[in-house]
Order: sequence, then structure tokens, then C-alpha cells
Amino acid sequence: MLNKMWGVTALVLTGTILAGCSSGTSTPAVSVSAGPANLAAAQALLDEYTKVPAFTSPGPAFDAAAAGAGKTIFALPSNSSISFVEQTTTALEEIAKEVGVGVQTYPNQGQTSQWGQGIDTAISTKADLLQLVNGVDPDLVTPQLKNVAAAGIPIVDTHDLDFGQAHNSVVDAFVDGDFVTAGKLIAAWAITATKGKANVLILTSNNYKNSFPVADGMRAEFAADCPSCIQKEVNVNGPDWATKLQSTVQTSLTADPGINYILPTFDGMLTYVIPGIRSAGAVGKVFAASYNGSPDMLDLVRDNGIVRMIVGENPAQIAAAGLDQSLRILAGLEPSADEHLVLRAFTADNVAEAGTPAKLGQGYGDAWHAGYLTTWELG
Amino acid sequence: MSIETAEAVAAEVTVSGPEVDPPPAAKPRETARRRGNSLQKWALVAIWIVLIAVFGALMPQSFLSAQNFQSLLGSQAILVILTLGLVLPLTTGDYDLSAGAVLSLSAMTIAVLNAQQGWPIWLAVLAALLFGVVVGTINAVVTVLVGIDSLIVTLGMGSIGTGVVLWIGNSQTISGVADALVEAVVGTRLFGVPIAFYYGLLCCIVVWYLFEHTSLGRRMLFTGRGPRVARLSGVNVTRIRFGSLVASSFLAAVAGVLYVGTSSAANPGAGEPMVLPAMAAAFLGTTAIRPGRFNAWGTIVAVYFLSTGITGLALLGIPSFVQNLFYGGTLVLAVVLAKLARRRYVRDDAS
Repeated sequence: MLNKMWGVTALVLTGTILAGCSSGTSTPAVSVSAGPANLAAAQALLDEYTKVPAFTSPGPAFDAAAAGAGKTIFALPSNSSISFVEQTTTALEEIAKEVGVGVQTYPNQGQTSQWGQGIDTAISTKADLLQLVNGVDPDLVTPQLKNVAAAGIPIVDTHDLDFGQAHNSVVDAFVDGDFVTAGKLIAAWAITATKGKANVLILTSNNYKNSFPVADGMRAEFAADCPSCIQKEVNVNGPDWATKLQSTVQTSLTADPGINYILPTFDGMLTYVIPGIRSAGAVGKVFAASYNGSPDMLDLVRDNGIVRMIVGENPAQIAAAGLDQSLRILAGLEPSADEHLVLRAFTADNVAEAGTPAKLGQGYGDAWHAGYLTTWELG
Repeated sequence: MSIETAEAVAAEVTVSGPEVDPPPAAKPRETARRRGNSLQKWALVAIWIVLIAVFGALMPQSFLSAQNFQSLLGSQAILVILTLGLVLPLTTGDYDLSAGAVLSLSAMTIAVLNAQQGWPIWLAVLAALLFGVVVGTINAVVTVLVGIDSLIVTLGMGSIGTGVVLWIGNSQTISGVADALVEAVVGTRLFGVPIAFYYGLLCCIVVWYLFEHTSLGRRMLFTGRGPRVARLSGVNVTRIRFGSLVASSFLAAVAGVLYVGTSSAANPGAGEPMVLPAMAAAFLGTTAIRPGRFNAWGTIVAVYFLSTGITGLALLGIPSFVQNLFYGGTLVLAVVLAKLARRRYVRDDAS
């Protein structure tokens, strides 16, 4: 019996050490140089994004109703159980009704085999266009997408990549997100909130492709406006958030009591970051800022406690942008190079505009809706 | 349902030993019993057909299209092979919870070696399969030779495997695997169905033959039902359990090869989400074809029954949480009905 106990203990310890070494990969703390912080530049960047976003037309106006008449867009969401994704898909269906184009959605739970089946279904149902919604990675379904292309069905990938990332050549058009700017805003907040004395723990989640540009944006902003700010990075992949994030935060704060901001690339990580800060006894000394705009996290901003700033995105505008790009393809037009997806920095000062309690998609104004209708010659 | 429960149902349901003519008074009971067994044997298949009919009536254009069935058959081959692998140790009384991690490890090994290191694809596949055997051997050594519960050992090995996957893949999706593998898995089609489906079918036939037509299969069953009795009967229980765990990991690695061949890429979290559906299918499979036993055809019926339901719900545009309800509800209901049916037969026999 004793031998068994030793065996179990050794096994569990080995597994824990190996798993800990590999998933929670970390980089040492760095600061680029000892130069002074440019607080004014960081503040100017924030000021630009705390206002209600203005609409910028993605391209020349066109007759969207004619382009979409009698057509069906097959929408494949990345994971229908994620609220943001589901809201985007629902918005896509609703806005498509205004235009008069059909949308067939294939709800799924994010498994690659389900994506493959959904893509095959787009072919079998003879869809006019396949739209990948909110993070279906084309690299994981390239053989299936090649079949779609061979069937003459155009493919649009929405809100998956930043402009600077490698784009899969099978896809006809993209609606890129401005993830780098989201990262810059997070860093700018940390710089101004600490008056140029930021000592931050950046938490990435590299299994999601858009984690890279968000983190790149943070690094770029620190390098530009606060080279003396100290940054440490730890990667914790999505499936490990529940088990590793809290302990990662706790041990990082114990190892470096000077850390004053935790900056996760996605606000879903805050659920585990906050208990980490609490259990390290760092409430009131350590704060957090992140990106996405989940309503429950915006509510935390309003409470003015640990979470001080969230960069949010409007799922309804993402849906409209995806529809615009799809309709341009169906109309035989050149795809838009930039759909100008909007970002808004929510702080304690403006978070009330997102609703009390916050609602997904609220707080971004209505300019986008009117703007798209005008672009589609429906307004 | 535990392994023991499944096997207990098996012990009750299956009639072992030479067939003898029942006495005249027992004939109606025997007929009723056989009818009951047949009903139980084909109940899941019948429900599957009803399910297809219902979805077909609701969506004749999309659901009943040949392409939908071709896609359904091809896309589940990975799950079929993973589940068939799990069925081997389940039959001998062990769990393999590391199968998902082995799938990911196999897929990531191929992607790293082929797409990043430039190894020929066949060599990368060979290395991936070797990794599967290595993990299975470690599982077997610690479980069988050291004597630690397979649940704990394979859970630990799964965690280690996941760590290695994240390490070698730098926590990222790696794409750009050679087209030759894609061609060999989904590029080639037979009767419009991707060749991957036939790989799954082949594995199913091998496992069926093993269980039904070899003494090794019988010994595996005896080992699972009562290792002590099996040992006293001269069965090399250690070797049987050892081999099952290695074979399970090997098949998980094969599933990983198919995963890369389907996606032309590997992502670090590929395998873990498949373990529960595979377990569900393995246990659901014990209610069909050879009721009460983990069996090859029951397994494949269970996998395709579940995926038919999920596909139909997705085509109807039903919210995704209903897929969870379907998965879990079907499993619990099927196992409960099988148990209730069995009780009724036993009661009938007793009266």
C-alpha cells in the first residue's frame, strides 16, 4: 500500500512539474530602457478611444439588396456556446433580414470535426457564400475549405486575425480586427494609471491566434511611451485558465511584490486573475485591464475595484462588417481592405453607457448601423 | 455506469456455454427471452433509424443529401478509432484517460517534425505512432506492474502528455503538414466517402474479430470480468492488461495521425475534448449489438448515432447547449433502458 502511495505521489508530482513548466511558459521581467514615460502620448491614445466610436465606411456604397437577393450565406461560428460568438451570429441573422439575404447558421461547440462537417454542409446545401465567424481557424480546416473553393463558393473569415498576421490563401476575404490597437490601449492605461511606473504581468493565451497581436500591441506601447516600465509575460492556454491562472497570478505577485497591473489579453481570464490578486493579499495595490468587453467584466469596471479598464468590441458591428464584406463578394466588387471594426475603452467614467448591468453590444452608439444602411443604399 | 456494471449486465444478458434444448415448459420463456435480447440488441440501431427519419422529414433537402452522410461518416473516423482504442482496456477492466493527450501528442509530433523540421511525412507518422506506444507502455508498466489504479496513472500521463504537446508546439497551432497525408486521409474518396471512414471501419473489423473470433478476445473478456478467476484459470492477466493499454495508446496515436490528415494542422487542444464523447460512445455501445459488453459494432453504432443527433440539431440551427442535453440525455437514457429491460427479462424468467 505504501509503495502504491509513493508511486501515485511521484506520478502526480512529475505531471504537475512538467505541465507547469510547459503550459505556463513565462518570460523574464524586462524594461526596454530607463527613458522617461510619455504620459501625454499614452493619454492621447486613450482619449481617442474612450468616446463613442464614429463610423467609417468600409468602401464605396453599393446596392446590397440586389447583391443579396435570393442568396444564402452559410455562417459557421467558432463556438456557439461562447456568448460573444453567439451574439455576433444572432446579430448577423437580424441584420441580414434588413438587407433581404438569407443566413443559415451551423451552431457547434468549437470542435474541429464539427467545423469540417459544417463546411461540408455549406457545399451540400449549395450556399452562395461561406462565412467563418469569430475565430474559426482556416489553418485547421484547410482541406475542407479547398473543397468549398473548388465548389465555387467564396469564403469570408471575420474577426479572426489582425491585419499584420499571416492570412490563409484559400479564404477570399477577411474582416480583420484591430487587435494590436486593443493591446496598445491596455498598455496605455497601465502607463497613465501608474504615472509611468507600471510594473506589469502580461498574461497571454497563445492557443488563440489573436492573443499574439494583443500582446504585440502592449509591448509596442510600452516600448514607445514607457520604456522604463517593467513587463513580465506568462502564457496560459485557454483550457488551463481555470486551473492555472489563479496560481500563476498569486505566485507572480509573491515573487515580485512590485507588480501593480495584471494585463490579460482576454477579459475572460479576469475571472481567475481576480481571485489570484485577492489570495495574494494585493487588493488595492494591484489592478487589472484587459480586452473584449464581456458584460460581466464591464460590471466590474463600474464597481471601480480591481478591474479598471476594458477595451470592448461591438459584436453587432462585427456582424454588420462580416455581412458587408460578404455582400461585396456576392456583388462582384473588390473586398474591403478594412471594415474599420470599432474599439472602445471602458473606464469607470463611461462604463455606465454600456448599461447597468452592462449589455453586450451596448455603449457603442448607433452610428455603425445607420452607416452600414447608407453604405448599402438602404438608408 | 462503471466497467463492473457494464460487465455485470453482460454476465446477465449473455448466455455462455454450450446451447442445450430447454425443457418443453421452458420453451415459451426461452422464446420471450430471445425476443427480449434481440430487441435490446437492435434497439439503438432502431432509434438511430428513427432519428434519421425524423431529421430527414424535417430537412429532406439538407439532411438526407448524400453529401451530408458522406461528411458525417468521414468526419467521425477519428472519434471511432479513439473509442475503439478505449474499448480495449475497458474490456480488460482498465481506463485510459490519457487517450486524448496521446491524440494531441501524435498530431503535434507530426506537425512539428514534418512542417517545422522538414522530416518526410512517413517518418513523422512513424515517430508519432512510436510515441503512442511509448506512452501506452508507461501506462501499462505503472498500472499493471507497479499496481496503481489505471484511472490515476492515465490521468497523470494525460497531463504529462498535454504538457509535452504545449512544450513542443509552443502552445500554438502548427499548420503546413504535407499534402500527401491529407490526400491519404480525406483527399481520397470511395463512394464519395473520405477514406478516413474506411480506416475506422477497418479498425472496427479488427476489434470485432479480436473479440469474437480469437481466444485472446475471450481471455480479455475473462480478465475484465474477474481477473482473479481468470488468473486461476491460466490466463496471463498481466500480459493481457499490459497489451490492452499499449494498444489503446497506439490507436489514440493513429487517431492523431487522422486528425492531422483531416486538418493539415495540429492544435494543442485537439484530443482532450474527444475523451468524454469517446467514453460516452464506448458505454453507449454496450447497449447495442452485444448488449452488456464493450463491443466493436456497438461502439461504431453509438458514435454515429450520437453524431447523427448532433448534426441534425446543428442543421436545424438549434442552440448548441441542446447538443449537450442530447449527448448526456441519450447516454443516461440508453443505459437505464437497457438495465430496466434486463430486469424485466430476469423477472419473467423467475416467474
